[in-house]
Amino acid sequence: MTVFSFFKPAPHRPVTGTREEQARDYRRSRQQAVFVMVAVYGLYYVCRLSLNVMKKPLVDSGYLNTEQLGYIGSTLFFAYAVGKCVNGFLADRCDIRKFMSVGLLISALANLALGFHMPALLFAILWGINGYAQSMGAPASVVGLARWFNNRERGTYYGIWCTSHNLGEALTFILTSLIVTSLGWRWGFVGAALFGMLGVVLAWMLYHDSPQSRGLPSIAEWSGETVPEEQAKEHVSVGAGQKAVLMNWAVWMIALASALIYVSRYAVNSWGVYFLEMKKGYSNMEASSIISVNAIFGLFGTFFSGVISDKFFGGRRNVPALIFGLMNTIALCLFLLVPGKHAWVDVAAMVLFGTSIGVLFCFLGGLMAVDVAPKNAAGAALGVVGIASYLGAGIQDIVRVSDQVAGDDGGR
Amino acid sequence: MEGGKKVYEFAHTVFHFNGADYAVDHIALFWIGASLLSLLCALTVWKVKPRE
Repeated sequence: MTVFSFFKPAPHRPVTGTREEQARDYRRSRQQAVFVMVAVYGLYYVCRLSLNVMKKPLVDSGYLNTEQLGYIGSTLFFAYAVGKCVNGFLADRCDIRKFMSVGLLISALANLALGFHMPALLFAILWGINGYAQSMGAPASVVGLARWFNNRERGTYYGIWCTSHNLGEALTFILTSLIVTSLGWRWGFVGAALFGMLGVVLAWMLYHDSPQSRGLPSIAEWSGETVPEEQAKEHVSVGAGQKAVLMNWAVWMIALASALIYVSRYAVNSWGVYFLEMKKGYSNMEASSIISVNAIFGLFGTFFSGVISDKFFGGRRNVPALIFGLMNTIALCLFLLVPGKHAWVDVAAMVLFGTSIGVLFCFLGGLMAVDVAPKNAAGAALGVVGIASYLGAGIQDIVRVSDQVAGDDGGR
Repeated sequence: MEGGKKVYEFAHTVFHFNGADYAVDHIALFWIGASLLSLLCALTVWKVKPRE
């Protein structure tokens, strides 16, 4: 058996059963799909963020220094960015149950291996492999959304899926941290690996490739969606659908918008505390508390983004994107331009910023591109937006560092 | 570059109005500019309808 044949989409079975039986199977399979997308992708994050809570113990033990941790961290970042694009295109052609499970299995094994003592270079290589494996989770989830949910409900479930990263962060900062504090960093990696293994089992048992692989009609047939004849003829094969994504200027504009919004997202997340301390005179604790407001409202914005656009705007994202885009700019102006230490102004800025970035992260970071892509090329659309977004995040860090250097030298 | 410099100087003039020590520097303008440009890019697809 080759790798390609292993990942081949699950064969379609003949449609069987009464309408009621199909409805029951559809309901159960979709509930399982949502559970896997949120819980298992949350467990992906546990394997991705494990290093974040172990940096200090690793440095304190003399195993790695901060410079080594810097380049080790960047291997995951770059492998993830490239992998998100490559795996987006691959996921459209694969059995997403296997794709989701294998990605997390590799990631868990990499974490397990990192629990052993090894040279820094090998550590970096393993962390890079982890980064690539991590990028298999999002395409497997988004392709699942396109295969199991119709156009009118996709936004709602996309928003729910996006909250999985908050779940992963919470598990990491509570449970993995507890393991590291109680048993040391080696067990922290082992713990993350065990969480990952649990996710592999859940994905393997509960995720299904497509409705057709379970003997059900496709989601378009089931929900009575009408596909215009031209579109149906135009993208019969996955390759043709993916080509249409690459040729679609709207996908590229959404990718650019996403890259730019990632600049402001990572600006506040990475440099917000520093900015408040240096420019506005807050203490570290005060600054961290203000920035944490952004995380809480981000979760709120993400969760409700899809529901709002599906229920109130008929599945269109343009009006909410305008409203929350303006809110984002106003929030940044309040945060960056209002001088001095005014806690309530900065908290209000973080409420607006968190809510707007939560919505825009969901819309621009994938949903709008998936909306305009053919159903069989949802992974490709996510891949294009994904690599652009992480380039934006990378550029943000480079520009920030250059500006810091210029500021220090020029005494601005 | 000249255009960028003018925008920066204009921002300083506006936000240092009345001599207040406003927290404006290059990076703040870069972040706000990125947010605004993102909004403009998103608006270019205003009329593009989701696929059926």
